[in-house]
Amino acid sequence: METGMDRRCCLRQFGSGLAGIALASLLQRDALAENPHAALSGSPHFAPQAKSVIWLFMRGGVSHMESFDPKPMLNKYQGKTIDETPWSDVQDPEKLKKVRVVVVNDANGQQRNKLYPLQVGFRKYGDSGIEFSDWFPHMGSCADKLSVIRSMWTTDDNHGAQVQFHSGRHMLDERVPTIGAWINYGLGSLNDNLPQFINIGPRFFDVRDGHYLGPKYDAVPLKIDPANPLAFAQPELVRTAGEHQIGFDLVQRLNESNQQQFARDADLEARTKSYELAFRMQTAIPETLQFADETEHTKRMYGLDHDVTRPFGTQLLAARRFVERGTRFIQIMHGDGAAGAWDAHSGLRSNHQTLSSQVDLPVAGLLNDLQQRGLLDETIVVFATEFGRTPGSQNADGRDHHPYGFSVWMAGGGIKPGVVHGATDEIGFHAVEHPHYVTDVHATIMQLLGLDAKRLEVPGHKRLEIDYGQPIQQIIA
Amino acid sequence: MCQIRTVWLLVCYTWPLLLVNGTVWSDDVDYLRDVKPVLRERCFACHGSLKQEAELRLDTVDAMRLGSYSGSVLDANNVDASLLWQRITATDEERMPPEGAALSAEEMQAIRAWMLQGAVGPIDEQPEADPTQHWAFLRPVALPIPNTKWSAANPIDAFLNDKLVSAGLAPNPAADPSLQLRRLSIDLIGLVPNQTEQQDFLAAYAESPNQAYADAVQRLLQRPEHGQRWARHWMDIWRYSDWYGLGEQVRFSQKHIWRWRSWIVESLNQNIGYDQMILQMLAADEIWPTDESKLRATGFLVRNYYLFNRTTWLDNTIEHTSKALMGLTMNCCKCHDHKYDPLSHEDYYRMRAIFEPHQVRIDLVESQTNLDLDGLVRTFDAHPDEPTYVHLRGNEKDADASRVVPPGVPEIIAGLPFSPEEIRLPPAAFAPQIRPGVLVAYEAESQRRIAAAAKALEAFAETDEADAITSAERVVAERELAAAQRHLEKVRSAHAADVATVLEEPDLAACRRNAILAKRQATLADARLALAKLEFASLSDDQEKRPSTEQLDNAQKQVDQAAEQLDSLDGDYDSLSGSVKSAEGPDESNASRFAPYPQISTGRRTAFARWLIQPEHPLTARVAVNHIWCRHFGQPLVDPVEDFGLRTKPPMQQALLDWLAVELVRRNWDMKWLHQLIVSSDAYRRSSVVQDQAADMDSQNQFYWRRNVIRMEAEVVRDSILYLAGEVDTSCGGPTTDPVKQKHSLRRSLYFTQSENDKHEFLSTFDAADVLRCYRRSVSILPQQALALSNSEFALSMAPKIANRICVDGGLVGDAQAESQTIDWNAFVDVAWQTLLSRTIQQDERQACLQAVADWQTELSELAEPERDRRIRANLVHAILNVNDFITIR
Repeated sequence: METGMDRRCCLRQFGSGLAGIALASLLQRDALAENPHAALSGSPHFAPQAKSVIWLFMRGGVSHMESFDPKPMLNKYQGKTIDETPWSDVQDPEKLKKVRVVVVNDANGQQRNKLYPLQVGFRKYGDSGIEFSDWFPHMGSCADKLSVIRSMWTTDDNHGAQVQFHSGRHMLDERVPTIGAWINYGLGSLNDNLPQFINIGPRFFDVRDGHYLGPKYDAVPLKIDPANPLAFAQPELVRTAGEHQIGFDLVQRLNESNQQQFARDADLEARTKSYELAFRMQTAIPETLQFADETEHTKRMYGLDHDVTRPFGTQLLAARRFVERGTRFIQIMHGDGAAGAWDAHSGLRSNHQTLSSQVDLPVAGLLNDLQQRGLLDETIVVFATEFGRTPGSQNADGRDHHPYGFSVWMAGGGIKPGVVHGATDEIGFHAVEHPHYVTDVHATIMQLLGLDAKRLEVPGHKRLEIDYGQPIQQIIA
Repeated sequence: MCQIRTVWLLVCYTWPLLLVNGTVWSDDVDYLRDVKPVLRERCFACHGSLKQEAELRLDTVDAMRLGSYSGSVLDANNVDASLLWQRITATDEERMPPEGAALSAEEMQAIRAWMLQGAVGPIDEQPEADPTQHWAFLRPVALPIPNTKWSAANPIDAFLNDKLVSAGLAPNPAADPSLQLRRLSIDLIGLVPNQTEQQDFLAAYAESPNQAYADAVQRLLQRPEHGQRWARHWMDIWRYSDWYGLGEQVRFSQKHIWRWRSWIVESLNQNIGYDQMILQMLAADEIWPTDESKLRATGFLVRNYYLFNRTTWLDNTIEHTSKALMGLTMNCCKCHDHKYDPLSHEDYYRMRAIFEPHQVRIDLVESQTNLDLDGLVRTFDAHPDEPTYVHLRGNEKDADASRVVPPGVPEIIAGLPFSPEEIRLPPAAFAPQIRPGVLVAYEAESQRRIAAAAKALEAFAETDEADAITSAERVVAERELAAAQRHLEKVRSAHAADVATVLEEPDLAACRRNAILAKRQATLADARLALAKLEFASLSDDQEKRPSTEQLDNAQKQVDQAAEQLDSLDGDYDSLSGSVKSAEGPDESNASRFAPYPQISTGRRTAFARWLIQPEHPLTARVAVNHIWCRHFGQPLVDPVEDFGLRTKPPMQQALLDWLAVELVRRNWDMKWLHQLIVSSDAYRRSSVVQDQAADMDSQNQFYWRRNVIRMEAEVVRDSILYLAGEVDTSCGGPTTDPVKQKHSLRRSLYFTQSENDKHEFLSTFDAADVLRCYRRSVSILPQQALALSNSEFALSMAPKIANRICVDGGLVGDAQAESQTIDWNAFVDVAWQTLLSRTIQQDERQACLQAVADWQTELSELAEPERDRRIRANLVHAILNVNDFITIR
């Protein structure tokens, strides 16, 4: 959208509730669009099964074999090279071809031949009997609420795969909008006091979302810091509240007078509304991040009572509160550092043990809390990572990046409960059963939110079939 | 025969399915509504005016009946046997269209129903126009300036009024003079006029309006801030970006690219001509290979540098050079022939061949020998023989190596010469180490070291104490000075030898011998210095610092060895490094980055640049005029500005566009002439007030009956606030301001860091340029903008300074008294309003302001009076900055 204020732009802005027009449609939000070409009115294209997305992304690469995809054969054949096992063909050059190497170096993205045994035990959970590793017992207790996809694959053998999981494109290709930006572009806001696309947590490889859709579809970065949650949210120099309020009232009066002088100026009207929204956000965002009205029980569900779980738990509780208030898409990135903390090239056991203990309980708390509030039916929760880790060992006690097969799970609005879908081979190397490229997750979300990605396409930016992906029908209720 | 049967069987098989799924068409199927749009969208690209695959066109019914080389594709009497029907319903490789999904069941149904009804088309159906006759591909012609009902001294008005009259629209009268000045000042220098400038202008305007306005235009065009203002526009279009990457690894763009920005600012201020700017940006290294000032211009190409993938890099170069300079979407033919424009897959790779040989390097500048810290970043042909191949379907892994693609320009713009000629470069270009500036830089570095050493030694002259420690320390200082002096000799002789080598001078052997011997002396001096340092350290009280005997022995050995070899002529001298090539990929070793550069350049980019700026070129001048127009009027003559292809119909104001384009070229591409002509037009000076009647007839203002209301760009908002506060630093040039120093920097915004990784929070809130593509700024209306103006430290801290200036410049108080004197609130409100918004305050507005003053007086009653009044004046100014009208250009 590089061509200024064209009609589509205007519609979009009005659609996001910054102008008078939007007010009239507030009550009809999410009604089915009557005109099939009215995609940018902010309404879904067809009946949605969910309204919002909470997108949890573990940066660095979670070992699929030590989380949601147990491989006992790794124990049986531990120490053997892959060649010495019945699955030597997994390294057939033809099968390895799909991955595009960004930087050749010894430390990252290499074949690791010597099979490394599982570093953790597994248990079956719930009626569905889905297996979770002992590092994720609380998520395990939610097994009957979610669908595990054990057959993801991607093509970047390095952490550019983080960008790829969000945009669908390899880092060496063009940068394109992320899934959150598409949702933001396609759907109108449910609450005019809040941003509808929020990012919480560290980003490194690509801090943009909108790309050719324009910066207004970028996530609004929020720090879950009640003191400073939003840029310029509070006066940066000391003013009394009354002083601030008098100034605000004056500006409002002057803008209204302005509007009478310059009738038929739509921008002026939109800007006046947006000024009002700014002041509502000044209150709404701090209010959302204020947990005083949450019970102690709820806070415990998110682990706010423990140092280990509090940081991530706080973000998840904030996410629930934003979703509750109508924010469409919240992406939460877990794991500091350039590559992402989960990047366990060595010391995998202590690495994953530490990190899983930060997220496991709060994520389960989020699912349970959403459910008890009746929000799980309309909220999609995604738990993802950029790739898995190699079945073979690296540096004696770690695993390298593994793009050929890995696991994610989804839960909530429109997702079947208690399902395991897809599979890797017996040593967790290739996704062999129902393999899914990362955009299949995007397509699933789009379908559940009632959007037809093809109708959002922007002229001049042809998307490939693989950019759209295919909804994973087997996990859709 | 066999094949036809297969198709038939498939049709039989699929047809019932269509009946089940598709809409059943009744009699009302309409060719123009239901059929032709499908064919246009899916078939015309190969069977229309651009291409006639199988000699078939589908853009008229007559053409379909005429058919392909295998005869008519339509048979209304036997739909199933019609080739058109068979091919669109085929499920094997015969299916049409071959790319993308098959036609939908509904679309097939419509076509079938239409055929069953006799396949009738409209009478006089016209085929798609011949693409060579597309308006933008024909040379612009300056039509005579029309005579219009309203007298028009300015040709722009003559052309615009001609259309206004025939549309029956009445144009707005001129805007208030103070608003005219505000517009002009923002437009030409990117700053609102301050109080003094407003007063001076209004006084002159009262005397002679037109003279005052003309003078103001000239004055503003001559100010150095003009170059800064328009540089920012061209930086948008040309995608200026500072370097970014991962940590210290440069991945995108390059260090020191700010020199290109300085060049843009200077070139605009010197008004060197758009054609000259294009020549320099694309090919200064070939045309002026040793002119360091012009070489900066090639930052235009340097900006596309990408560490990891050469194809991505060149794709960006091709796409954005085409869009910015020609208004062509070449990027669409990377994988296949363009679907809408007569641009072929081959055209794309011919254009790639123009850029294939070029690379990026950093040449040393006189002020710095460390190329990481400073240098001249520029392009050069590093690989003149690198072949270009067509990438089949755009896949770089699938290049057609059977055929080398020659450099070339899009065939559709035919008949203009493009003839690259190889250029022999002067030695200083291919061997940059021989430039005198290199010696200057290294000498200066040595001289600094000598001066520091001499100064250190002086300290010892004042002490007579001759204890062991002091003596040892003194020896270190002496040897440091000696080493520094030896190094000066070393770089001097090395430079002489470098020059002699490259120029093959007769005294080469002697020069080399000198350089080797000077190197030996320097090595010995270094070894003696190292030994002296160890000996000094061995006297230390601190055991940790004392060297081992082995270390001392070793150092002594080094000295002895260097002394022995003092006259040895083995080995070579150390050549000075005058340049480093940027890494071609993350794994390139340093060794190959200092290799000698080619002595020739292919001349391809020179040929391309000269081809672009030929007066007959149909696109270059039009595209330039359109960019400039768009930024003065807030809307372009041709929309979108980056696509003048077939999808863009002839613009309503084509006669005006073409006249301006022809005239611009005739006047040596003089951009200040164009600015002056545009801003002097009645159209530009019109009031922006919306008249109901005119707005009903032309809500988009295509006839320019009024001036558009424009929102300030991000940089104008920030720079203007600084300017009103009397704080802005308007100095030109220099490196990009470090992000961590930006918060309190007073530099104009164009000097701030801008890259994908670094964005200024305040500026990006107001839609700063997208460094990846920004042919036009997007204008968003976001609540964060209100928050930025209302709550930022920047706005809050500038408000009191502006208030103070208003008191002083407005003559409300004497200079020294501004801080303390009581000021009449009525007067202050009126002057503040006029200064910030350039319009007279209305009664209700004044009332509102005075009411707020009263409220603040109550709220802040605990403050002492001068302090309280100061605070309220600042609050008032702050509020007016937040009124919509401040960021609005009326």
